[in-house]
Amino acid sequence: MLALIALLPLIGFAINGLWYVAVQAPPGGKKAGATVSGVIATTAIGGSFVLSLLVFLRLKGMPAEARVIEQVVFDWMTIGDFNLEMVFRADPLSSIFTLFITGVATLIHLYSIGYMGHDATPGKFFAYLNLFSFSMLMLVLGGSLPILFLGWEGVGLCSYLLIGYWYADMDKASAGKKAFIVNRIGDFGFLLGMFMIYDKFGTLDLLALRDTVLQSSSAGLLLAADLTAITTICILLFVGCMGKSAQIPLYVWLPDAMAGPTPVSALIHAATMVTSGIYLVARLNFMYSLSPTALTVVAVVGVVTAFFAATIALVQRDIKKVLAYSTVSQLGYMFLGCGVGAYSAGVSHVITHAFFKALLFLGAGSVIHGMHEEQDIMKMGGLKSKMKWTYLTFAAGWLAIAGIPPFSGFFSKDEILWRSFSAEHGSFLFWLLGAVTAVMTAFYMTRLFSLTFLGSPRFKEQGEHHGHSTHPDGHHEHGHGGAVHESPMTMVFPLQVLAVLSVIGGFMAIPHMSWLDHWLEPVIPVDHGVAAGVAPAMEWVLMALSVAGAAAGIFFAFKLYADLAKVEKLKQRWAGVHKLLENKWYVDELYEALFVRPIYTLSVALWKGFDTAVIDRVVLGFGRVSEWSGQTVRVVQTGSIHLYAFVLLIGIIATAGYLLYGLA
Amino acid sequence: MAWLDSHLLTATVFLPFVWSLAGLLIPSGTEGGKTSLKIWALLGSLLTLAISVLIYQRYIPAGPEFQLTETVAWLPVFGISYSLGMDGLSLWLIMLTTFLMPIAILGSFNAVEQRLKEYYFLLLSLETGMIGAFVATDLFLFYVFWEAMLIPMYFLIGIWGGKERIYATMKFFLYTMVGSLLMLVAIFYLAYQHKVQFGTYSMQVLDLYKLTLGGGTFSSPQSVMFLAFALAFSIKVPLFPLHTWLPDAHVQAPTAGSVILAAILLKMGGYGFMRFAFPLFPEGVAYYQLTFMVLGTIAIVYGAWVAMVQPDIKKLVAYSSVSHMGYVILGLFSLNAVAATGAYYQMLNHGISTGALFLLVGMIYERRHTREISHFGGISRVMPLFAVAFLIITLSSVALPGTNGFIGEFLILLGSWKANPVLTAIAALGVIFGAVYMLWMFQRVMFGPVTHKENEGLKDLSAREIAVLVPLIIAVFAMGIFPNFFFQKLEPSIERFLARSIPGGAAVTQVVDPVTSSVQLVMKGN
Repeated sequence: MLALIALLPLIGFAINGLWYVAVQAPPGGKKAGATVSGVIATTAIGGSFVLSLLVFLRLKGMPAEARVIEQVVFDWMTIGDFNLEMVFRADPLSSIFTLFITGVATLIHLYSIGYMGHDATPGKFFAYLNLFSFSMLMLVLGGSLPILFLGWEGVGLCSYLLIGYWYADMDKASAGKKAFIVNRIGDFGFLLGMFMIYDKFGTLDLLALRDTVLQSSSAGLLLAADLTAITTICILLFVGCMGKSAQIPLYVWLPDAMAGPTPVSALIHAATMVTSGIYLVARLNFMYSLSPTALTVVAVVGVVTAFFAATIALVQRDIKKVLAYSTVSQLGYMFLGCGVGAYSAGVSHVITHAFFKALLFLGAGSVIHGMHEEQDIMKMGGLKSKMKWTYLTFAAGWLAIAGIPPFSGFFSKDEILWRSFSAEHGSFLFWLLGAVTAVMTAFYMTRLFSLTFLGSPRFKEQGEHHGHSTHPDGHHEHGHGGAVHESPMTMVFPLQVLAVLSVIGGFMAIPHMSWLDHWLEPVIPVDHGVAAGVAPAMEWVLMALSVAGAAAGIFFAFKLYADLAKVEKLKQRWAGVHKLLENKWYVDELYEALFVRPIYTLSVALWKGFDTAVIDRVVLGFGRVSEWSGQTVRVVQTGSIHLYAFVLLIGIIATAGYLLYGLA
Repeated sequence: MAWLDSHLLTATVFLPFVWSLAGLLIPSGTEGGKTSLKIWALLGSLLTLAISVLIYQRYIPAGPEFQLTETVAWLPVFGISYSLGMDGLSLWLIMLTTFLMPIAILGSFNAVEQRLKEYYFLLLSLETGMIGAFVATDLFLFYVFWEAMLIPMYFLIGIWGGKERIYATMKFFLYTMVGSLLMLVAIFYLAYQHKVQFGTYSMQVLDLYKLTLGGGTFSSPQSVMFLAFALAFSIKVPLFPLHTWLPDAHVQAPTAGSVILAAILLKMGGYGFMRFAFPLFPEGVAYYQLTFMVLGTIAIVYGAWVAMVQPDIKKLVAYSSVSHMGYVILGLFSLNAVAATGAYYQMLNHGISTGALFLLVGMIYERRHTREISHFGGISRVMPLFAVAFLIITLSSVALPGTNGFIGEFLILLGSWKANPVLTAIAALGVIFGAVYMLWMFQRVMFGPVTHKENEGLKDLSAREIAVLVPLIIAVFAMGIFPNFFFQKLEPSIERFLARSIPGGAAVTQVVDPVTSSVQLVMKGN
């Protein structure tokens, strides 16, 4: 049954993929609507959701300590005593991930039927979407690190394919490539971490690894050298997380990833794939907890990323870019939680974030759809009356992310903030940065909300028909005119479901009576330890402060963006800062100058200056065979062949002489 | 059955050659004649494939080291005999050869229109040479096949090659000659040593494994002999810095030539290391272990970097071979079962994915008569099926998990980490740069708008081209998901290879640090 959870979307992928290859792709292929392939794909992932639910219920019926279901499908690689099984394993942590992944994915598949209704190759799109779901499920159900890695790279591949889905636009294709390569930099760390684990502990199986580490730790067998190794392992694996979960310094691909279709941004680049890093750290919590150094690295990277990305989100004009930086920032929160040892707080934010961020992206998609591909929030406004459901559901997401009680984001975020202050590895600075980020979050989300839905429209409504024919493969060719409209039911329904979840989702993790903490306990030991000198009452003080901060952020944003002229003036007064933020701190430019250009230049130099100029000369000798171009026949004809033959002969005589006299 | 067993290898080796001789009788003046010639060649290669499946069936991994053996005295005075035999190391390389040959021939149907008779004759003789080298258990016989298979390759490049084929052929010739002549001298030295130590000349590899040769210093016989063999094999691999013949040979060779060259001829190098250089001179291996691991690592990164800046797709693929084969060297010299299995598997993978890449490049070359990356762009829209195939092979080349490439690279690096973590970390950079050069090339060729008018009307894959690519695509996934199918018949041979290649035997290979072992004991104890 476990394997079937992952296999169903793979089957969906196969059906849609073959249909694309056999029917849609060949010359004169049929153009078909998205309905058939959409229904196939949605059914496949919906089936996975049902199965995940059954697995969850089965686990729930088991005694807490015994909550593991395992299925070995076949032996993957066996060499001597090195054996890797293709093994799936469901425990409380993976089952909770499986549930929200398949749940959110089903909604987004459904939404895509409407959103991609006018696409030229829906078979391909839904095949990719199913392939992604398959990979993501392998990632969370895989019982060993290499299988997890299979999913890990698989989701990266689908991300690449879907970001560059409209490949005829070179910028979108580049964004896809960038995502893949930056993720590969992270995977480099992941791989090395795996090699080191195998070297040190002799296994890559997650359960065996956990047993080994915990037992040798409690038996006092881990010496200083082992702990250093564990620190190195944790940091190497975290490099993988920096790539996949878009943390500094590897976050740069995620904002560009918004080039993909919006359902993709919602599913892959907000709700599921980018939280893989948090899953990995939570999964390996038994190792991270042994290394205070690694935990500090995770927490610092997390909180700095959260802050940094939020500053950029303050000034972006593209609705999806704002949400993208917000995602980077929220992922930072999750790592902050993990980094202070509050893994289940991190996980709970993963889940609530999946609800409200998927909702916000799908809402943005609905807006973009309704506005005919307009993404600039400065050209929106007043959509409240034209898109009632989108407006209402978006509002739920906005309040959730802003951290207003009792919306879901409030509980999970507040728990992280509290633990970042009170936990053993916490500090006031973590809390402060986190709280300031929370205020900024409330501010930029309100700005987005206000500019999009409130005020009066800043666009001309009738007769416009912009952006439709930019993609030659003919996606998004609306058959109707330019009137802003509410989206079809297949798109609105997922919004409604997600809105409900965003409102109530936080109740599963109410501090001090968290159902989630309890559920995860077999995998993640519950530790509500408060560092010495922290008064328990502080929790309420800090909570009040962060709610007040969020409210203030919302208030000021409303006030400011009610009067756009004032905004303009403010922008001018702070032109320098604004430019810095608008250009994202020039990090892309920095990387270009530091890494991309030098490596490219070096490579050309090696090719022309070493391969051709040096090796050919030295190996073939005598400089005659030197240039790539021309001259070649002459070289053969000028008699240098005799020279080679002569050199050869000398070589043979010398060797033979040596053999006869030197060795005998 | 016994008769069949003792002649099966001879039949497999010589069937293509004899078949192609018969093919010379087909009149090729007319269109119909040309077609029958092509079909004849294809049938010959398919028949060889069918026979090689028999070899697979009859090979019992738990049985004796060499199976299906056959020995006929040849020059008994010098201990030279016609001896064939195969083990796991031979098996999959034979299968790779017989699997790719029909594909290469079918892929040539439209590419080659001149001197058809000679072309198919040479291709099939080449197959005889290659299979022969994989099953020869007499060192001299191996050398004969090794040299013999070069001759058809010279002509394939020299006659059907591109504009600068003469230069490429000369370079190829010089490089390989230098290497193999030194190896020949070393072979004679070994036969002579056998006379000294056992009283008779012998070229039987199993006899020569028993020689006692001094080692440990630069001038000791093991080090010198190892180097003589290693030079020949490194050139073939090709190992940095002996790789510069490869890009030229590839770019100039006709598609089928490139496919065979990359997929099988390069494997002769790795096979030679595993069959001869390592087990014959374990102390030579120990002496040069670090040197070669460093060279392998350099090859991985260097090949990837230089591949990245190539303007010609074929040259890019050629340099990617340098990078991919660097992994093989790194894995072999790590001297443990995981890395060695990975290295062997990587050779098969490289055969499949690089062979497929050259076929794909050949397909667009036939349409556009250019291989410059900048002459393409937006091909995905014009040739969507081609795009699917190209994408899958690209992913195999960047070693995405689920494809064959991952298994090889993963096992090599996992094993080499035990031997040398620092070099492994550097080598793993290949994981990043491999993605850079492949995806960047893919993007420039396939994505974006169609910028050249000539590309607008390109036809998508024909049925024949689909038939060429589908077996390769199936192999990519089959090998990525079920590697154990291949490992089963490989494992005992890898163990023997290691037992001989490590001075003092495999028992002392695992340098286990005490802390780790205590940790692992805890685990095993429960």
